[in-house]
Amino acid sequence: MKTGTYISGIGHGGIVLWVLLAGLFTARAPAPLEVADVTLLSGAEFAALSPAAAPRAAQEIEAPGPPAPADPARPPASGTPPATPSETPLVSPPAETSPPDPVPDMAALSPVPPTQVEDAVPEVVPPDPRAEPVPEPGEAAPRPAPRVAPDPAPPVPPEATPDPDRQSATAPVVQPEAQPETPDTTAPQEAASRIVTEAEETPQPGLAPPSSRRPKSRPVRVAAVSPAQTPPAPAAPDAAGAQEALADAVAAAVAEALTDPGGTGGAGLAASGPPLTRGEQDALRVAVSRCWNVGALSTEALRTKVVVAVRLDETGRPLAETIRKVSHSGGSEAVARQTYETARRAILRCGVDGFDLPPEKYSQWRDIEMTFNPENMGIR
Amino acid sequence: MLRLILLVLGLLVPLTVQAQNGPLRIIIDEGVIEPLPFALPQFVAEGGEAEDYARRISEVIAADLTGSGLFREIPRDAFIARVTSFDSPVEYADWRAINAQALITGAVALSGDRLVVKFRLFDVYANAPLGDGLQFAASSASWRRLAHKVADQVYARITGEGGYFDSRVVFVAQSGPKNDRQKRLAVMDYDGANLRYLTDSSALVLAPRFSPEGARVIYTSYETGFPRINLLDVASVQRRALEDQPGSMSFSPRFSPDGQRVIFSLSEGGNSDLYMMDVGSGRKQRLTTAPSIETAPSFSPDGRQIVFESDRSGGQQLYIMTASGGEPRRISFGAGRYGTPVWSPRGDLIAFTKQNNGRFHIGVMRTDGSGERLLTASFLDEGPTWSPNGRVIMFTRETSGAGGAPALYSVDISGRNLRRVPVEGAASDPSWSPLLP
Repeated sequence: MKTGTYISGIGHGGIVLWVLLAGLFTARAPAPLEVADVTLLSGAEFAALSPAAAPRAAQEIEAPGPPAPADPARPPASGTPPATPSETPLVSPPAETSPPDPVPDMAALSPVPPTQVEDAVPEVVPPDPRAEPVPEPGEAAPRPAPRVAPDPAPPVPPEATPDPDRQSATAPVVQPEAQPETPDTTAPQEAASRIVTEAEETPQPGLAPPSSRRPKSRPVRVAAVSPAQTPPAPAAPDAAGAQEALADAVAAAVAEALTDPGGTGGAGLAASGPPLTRGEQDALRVAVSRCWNVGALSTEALRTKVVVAVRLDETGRPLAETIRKVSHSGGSEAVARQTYETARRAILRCGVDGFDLPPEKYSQWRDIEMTFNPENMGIR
Repeated sequence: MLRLILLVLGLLVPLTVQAQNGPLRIIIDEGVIEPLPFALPQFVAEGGEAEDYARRISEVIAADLTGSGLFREIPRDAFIARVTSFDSPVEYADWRAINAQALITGAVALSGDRLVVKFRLFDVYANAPLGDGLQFAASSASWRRLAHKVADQVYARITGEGGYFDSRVVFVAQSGPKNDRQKRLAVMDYDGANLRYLTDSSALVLAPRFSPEGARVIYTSYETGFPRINLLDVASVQRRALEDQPGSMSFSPRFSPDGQRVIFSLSEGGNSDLYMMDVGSGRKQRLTTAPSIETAPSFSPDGRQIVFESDRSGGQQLYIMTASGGEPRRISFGAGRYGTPVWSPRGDLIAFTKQNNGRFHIGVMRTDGSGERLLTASFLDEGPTWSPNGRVIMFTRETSGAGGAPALYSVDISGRNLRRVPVEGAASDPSWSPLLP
């Protein structure tokens, strides 16, 4: 018994000594950083140096990197690199693309306006078709765009009964003894995406916003990049755009990767192949929403969310026998049944001719779970 | 570039897993709000003498459902299928072709004075009945109630909440010029039919309220020259003074949910406070002792709380306190003056009258005062009363001018479906009965 303890103690002690002597815990020296000396030039000095050096450098230097990390629609606000001295010195120009360090011959140079240099530099960033149109300087201010609601709602039917105030204001001074009986008809209820009460029916001057968004300033072209300068880091405000562009590229890459039949190796009818794009999913969502009528739901049912599963055939038609309620929340079982029935009707009504879905992605949309959430449409 | 590759690889794995294992998941959080289209072929008359009843009952059912604002009747000339027998199979495809989402079929039989109505409701897109068929029987004089019963069943099965069609409304019927109005109590079906007067116009009457079982009405009468609370039996039209304290004025009464007590305002020496009275014994209990005016009390459905209006804060506002008295809690804080609060039968909302910027509104708010929504706007809207299911509010709307007259209107609590209740002559102070048995 004790022998084993002794052996264990000796063994562990030996390991500890080896670790200490071997210097395992000594800190390693940090890897040396490559540091390049950079001379900061003033604008005047740069202007004086550029005419001779810039054209040559433009031929030798590799085209600037792809625009993926940066939002091409939003070039930097200034042609000069941002004042980020902490970044610039750490990046050295690649050796193979670096021009030979020119020794400027000051006598051979003639002063050239810096603007010529900017114009001589080719466009670094191709125009993005998604970019918003930018007015030219001096161009007339853009007309305010007419507001187009994404989901046009029909006008609220006016009440059949004339407004008593207006009636009195427009009535003759001598009023009749008895007012004519107001018609006992009520304007038919029309479909709406939101409920507007009589109290909210204040006349509005129009649906257009009072002012349109101020157009963005004209993007400044990228100035010439000196061989001695590194490309500027993306500006902070463009981070979101860069992420969006990156996400698009990723989505395209993923879709391309998934189209490879031998890629993922999905078996049988399990969903495989390229997923539905955001636009295809939105189209399906809109198609079902058009038929989802909650106008006859109780107030409690309007607070109940249901998840409905459905299987579609290859033409996009829902198979009625496969529609079932998966779960619900926010209301009782009995109330959830009412919400579920409206959802079921919506799926069957608008799917009677088949939903417009890409046939080649059938395995992706064969089985669908739709969450019907009427909370935004209920009585608050 | 390296970041891009890593990001692609990182996203590729979960996407691939999702694509292989789960169904496509989408969220539908927008839809349309419109009346549900239904088809109602005229009920089949089982026997020639039932033909007229079958037609009229079908019309009343359709009018009930359409009048709720939640349903839309499809014109019969658009029908493809014909229903010639109560048991004939349903051609769902034909009804779907005309966009009917619900189908109501029925039959009427008359045996002596006994009228029997049976019906079935179908979910057209589910190709299945919506609940079991039902049958009602009554005397032929009650044919309208039979129709309302059928409509209530259809309403409840589709919306998930109880109906309100088989109910009545007591109100103050008015006649004569504006400066000399004759007022008397009247009762009618919720849709204005079967109007019957309960009092003559010899004395001014105000603010009638149904008892919870619908057999009695309590109201304020000026029979003695001063406002007094009277109790009236609807069937026999017998009435008696419930509160007759000399030198005082009693008004604005309302029953407790159990019908055993009455809460009202009693004014003595120019000061109004709330009192509770046991209907059987006549014993009174004072609930408030403030120098301000407390009036228009209304019980919560469980009978534990009371909402009322008071000007104790300087302006007319709504307050809640326990039914036994105690410190009131103010719940209305918006601009303007609030009055005539009425607790919803469901217990979740309080309807009220609001006056602001020269306009009157009928509105609702939660019982803690939050979520205020104004449903109407007019020269004069006041005196809301709830339908038995808490979905519809009826109120008085009066037009301006010398020829202006009060009328009854109803509105869904969503603010939609504002419509005038068809009443012959001027009417005010409605009070909705519970659903009839």
